[in-house]
Amino acid sequence: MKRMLRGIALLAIASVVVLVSAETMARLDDAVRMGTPFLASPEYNDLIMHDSLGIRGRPLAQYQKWRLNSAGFRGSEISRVPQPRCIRVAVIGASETFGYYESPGKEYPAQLADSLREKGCYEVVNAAIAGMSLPAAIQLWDNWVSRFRPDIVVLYLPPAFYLSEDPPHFAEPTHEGASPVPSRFALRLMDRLHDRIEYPDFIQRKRVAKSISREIAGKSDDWFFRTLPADRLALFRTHLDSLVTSIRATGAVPVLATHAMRFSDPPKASDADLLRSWRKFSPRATEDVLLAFERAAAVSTRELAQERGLPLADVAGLMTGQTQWFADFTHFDDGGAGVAASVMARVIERLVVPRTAGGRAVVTGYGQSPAADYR
Amino acid sequence: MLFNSFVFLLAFLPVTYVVFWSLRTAKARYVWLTITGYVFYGYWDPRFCLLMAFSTLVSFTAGLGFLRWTDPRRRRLLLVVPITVDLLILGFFKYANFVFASLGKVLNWAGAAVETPHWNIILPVGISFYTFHTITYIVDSYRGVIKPTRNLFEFSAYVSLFSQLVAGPIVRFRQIEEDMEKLGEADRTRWLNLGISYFLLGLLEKVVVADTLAFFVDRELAHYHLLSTGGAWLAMLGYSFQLYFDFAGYSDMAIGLGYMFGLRIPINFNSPYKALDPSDFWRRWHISLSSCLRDYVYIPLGGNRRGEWNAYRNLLLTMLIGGLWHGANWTFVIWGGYHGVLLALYRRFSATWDKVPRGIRQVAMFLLALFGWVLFRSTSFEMAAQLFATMFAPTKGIGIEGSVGYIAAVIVAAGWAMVGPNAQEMHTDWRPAPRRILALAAAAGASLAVMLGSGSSPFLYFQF
Repeated sequence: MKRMLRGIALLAIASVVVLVSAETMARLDDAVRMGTPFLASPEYNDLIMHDSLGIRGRPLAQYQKWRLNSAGFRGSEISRVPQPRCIRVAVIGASETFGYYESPGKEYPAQLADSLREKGCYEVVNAAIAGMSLPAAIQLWDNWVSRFRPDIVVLYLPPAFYLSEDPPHFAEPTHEGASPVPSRFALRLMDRLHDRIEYPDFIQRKRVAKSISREIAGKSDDWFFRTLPADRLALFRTHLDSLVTSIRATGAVPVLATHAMRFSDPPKASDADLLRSWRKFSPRATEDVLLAFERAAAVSTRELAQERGLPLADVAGLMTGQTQWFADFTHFDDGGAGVAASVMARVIERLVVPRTAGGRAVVTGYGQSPAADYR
Repeated sequence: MLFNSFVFLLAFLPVTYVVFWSLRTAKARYVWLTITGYVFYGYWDPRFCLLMAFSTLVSFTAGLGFLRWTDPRRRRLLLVVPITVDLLILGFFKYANFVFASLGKVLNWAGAAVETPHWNIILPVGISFYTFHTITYIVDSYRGVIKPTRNLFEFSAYVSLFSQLVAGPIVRFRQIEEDMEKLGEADRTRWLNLGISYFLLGLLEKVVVADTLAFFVDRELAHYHLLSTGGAWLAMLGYSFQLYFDFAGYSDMAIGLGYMFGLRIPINFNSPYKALDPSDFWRRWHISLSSCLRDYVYIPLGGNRRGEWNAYRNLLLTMLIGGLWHGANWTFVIWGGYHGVLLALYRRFSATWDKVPRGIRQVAMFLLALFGWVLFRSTSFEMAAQLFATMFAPTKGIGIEGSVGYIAAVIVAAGWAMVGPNAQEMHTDWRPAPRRILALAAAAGASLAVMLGSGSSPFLYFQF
């Protein structure tokens, strides 16, 4: 009996040791690989803050592989003013641009920087924030990114936010200073476990169905978008146009990029589960409307580029329906990010005309006379 | 399937273990080990199971022939034919494109504009290892060192033993023959503690030490041409320890698994970075390969029996073959040649070298091994030359990103590898004392945390 109790006690202590050791190692591992402070308990949302300038990246924030510089942009430090004789490219977008599934340094702005570096002196600023809608992007540009004087601004913004309950709106600036990172203690081991768990398809299907059911419970029939909501599409276009106007007003050249998704027309049967999962984020829209809205937004973006004589990176034209380049519905994998970067790089290269060897470069719009001389 | 994957740890190993020990006869256990070996192997690509089965059958049949015939001519035929078949298979899958490419380069250099073919061949995982297993079986049967088995499943269980199937150690049949014969009477609990401790230590070496170093090393060497002198040295230091802990970790896990199933697999690493000279290094590094090269290449070539110069030649030839065994690339061949030269030089100047203080010899030998790893890690001579140039000529460039954590990891790894005890030194006097159980629980927890964070990375030696 005594021996058995001793055995049970030892087993219990050993189990505690396993957990304590695992939590300690998870923190050490994060510290060694990513420089995360040992005692911190960061979350993804810590990367974002809300202050008098609106919503933007929190300077020097980091969570897992994501690390922001002192300006709150993903990537290495940048100066306020571009380096002499260099072209600065800012990329504005949401999580697809910020980088989600890609390995560090493989998000498309980083790969764009790698591509452009071979062509000359370019600085690429990843000014994206996960979950950024067009109104938030306008605020971010007006209040923050424009201060860094980019010469070219690539806009890759997801239209699906326009299918949420309410259309995207401008955030109220807060005058109470930056929202602080809440003090908390969370087990990093649980974080890792959560990231690693992959539910079997049938369980995942049930989880998605449950989540959507919860969102749509009690909604009347006219709440749903069963056909493409023209007013929302028009709003998307209006906001995009406003952003373009705002960028042009500073002398920078906007590059419009159409937003790509993995789903072909019609979607493949193998993508059915993923399409249903996507709907979790916009339960108001049916799956058909989600797809139709994405396609219509791409057409609208192309038309806007045409009408306003803007350079267009038709990422959707090349990548939509190419499942191999996506890690989920719209986020790229490393390879897909490389393809998106190469599409954008080609457009940017055509915009920049080196005037003299070692002299000033000129950034032009499509079919326009040189828009600006730079340094 | 990887030892450090959840599918192995949570599904394959428990099922294999429980079923194995619930079977009572040796024959049933052979069959079960064969089945699990093929499942383990087929998890990567089931097509290549046929190749392993063919190689097994050829060698087994040769073994039966050795039992039947005593006539030297027939026995020689039984030696040559299956080894030729094995080597042809290995040659096709591993070296065909290498031969074509090398031939093409020579012909082009000679002025002939010949385009050599490049076949789209997938290299079967672990082919070099199981080919070595079968060849050593045939040679030992021919020499009369072992009595070939008449039991097909005993032999196929030996060849497809999942613990040592894809990355060694290269276990010769004679080394586990006794345990295989007595597999039906094996005691489950006899070596269980030892097996678990070896396995968990190996997991710690691989997952916590090697994979942490790999995180930095792989990233930095991906742009080796941009590295600074300090960055190149740090990257190669890290790689030296990564390679050791990766392979030693795998070997220790394999040994541990062997013990769990009643099989004593010989050690494969004995703190090689504590070596004091090249000869000592090869007695400690990948012991199962170096002893095979000694017994099946160096000694048949004449060893050191016919004078000093022949001994040098034999050392060089043996190590060139050893280098080529590692991979179809001239960098591996030159790496082997480099070690051959080191061994020959040591043989010539050992009296002088052995007078040097011990600490200096250990550091010098480590640095010599590190220079070899530059060749070993490089995918081309251009890369090796660039790395050597950066290491020895002060070069401005990029350092290691996140270097504080990386340097800390290198220091820990260096301390363990060069001063600390290795797995077999730790396991002596292993008893399930509470202190040891808790230490192993801590090792398991630490490994689990890293596995959850970064997933399962393949072992470096899988590529060979």
